[in-house]
Amino acid sequence: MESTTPTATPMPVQTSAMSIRKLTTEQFGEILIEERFIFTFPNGLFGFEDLREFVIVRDERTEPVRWLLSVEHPELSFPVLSPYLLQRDYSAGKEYSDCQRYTPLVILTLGSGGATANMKAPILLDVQTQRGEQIIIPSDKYSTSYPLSVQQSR
Amino acid sequence: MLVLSRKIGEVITIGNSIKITILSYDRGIVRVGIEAPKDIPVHRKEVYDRIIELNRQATQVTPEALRGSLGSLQQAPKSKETTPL
Repeated sequence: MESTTPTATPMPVQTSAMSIRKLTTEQFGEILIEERFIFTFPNGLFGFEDLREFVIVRDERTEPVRWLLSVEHPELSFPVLSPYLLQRDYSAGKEYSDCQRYTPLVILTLGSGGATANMKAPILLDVQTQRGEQIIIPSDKYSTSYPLSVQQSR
Repeated sequence: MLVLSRKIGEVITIGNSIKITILSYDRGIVRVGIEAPKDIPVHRKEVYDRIIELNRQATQVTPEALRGSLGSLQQAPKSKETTPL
């Protein structure tokens, strides 16, 4: 498949050493991340179009809520939760129905009435390609501010 | 801003892939049909703005502040549906 080269060039040695990066974060202190766990967001997030690389961080204090942390700006992180914990029949759309491939996460905010989840604009992680995107579900089925206090009723 | 007048049923094209059709007008509400390629998201602006605002607010949430607002979620038994990440 490759063109034959006249001189025998040695294959570049693929070092199997994991690429580990250290991030200094405000919320979680210093953390080590493996590069293969980084998700690339070609379009960033709404309002944060310049952020392209994220990792999911676990914090014992907030499980099962995890944190979508910007690799490029580690001072920025977004609390995220599996929408299935709020609505069992949640669906981000037919094109994302392959649950082996796509993991939806909803972003949480904290208001005077407690925590709410943005069910209308989920993040979809594609674990096959390590890519991610935030989409807007066009139908009026899902709220941008779904209260966490009513969870587990279905 | 380019301003165009259109009658019901008339169409505006943007580039060679986007068509906007004025469908109806009734009591101050204009219904517009939009045909655009899948990779060009089309949204109501107020929804889009709200999502940007919510994303901004999300970056202000701290683990300490959030932990008190999770209620029964925190005792939820781990199910298969939690993210495998």
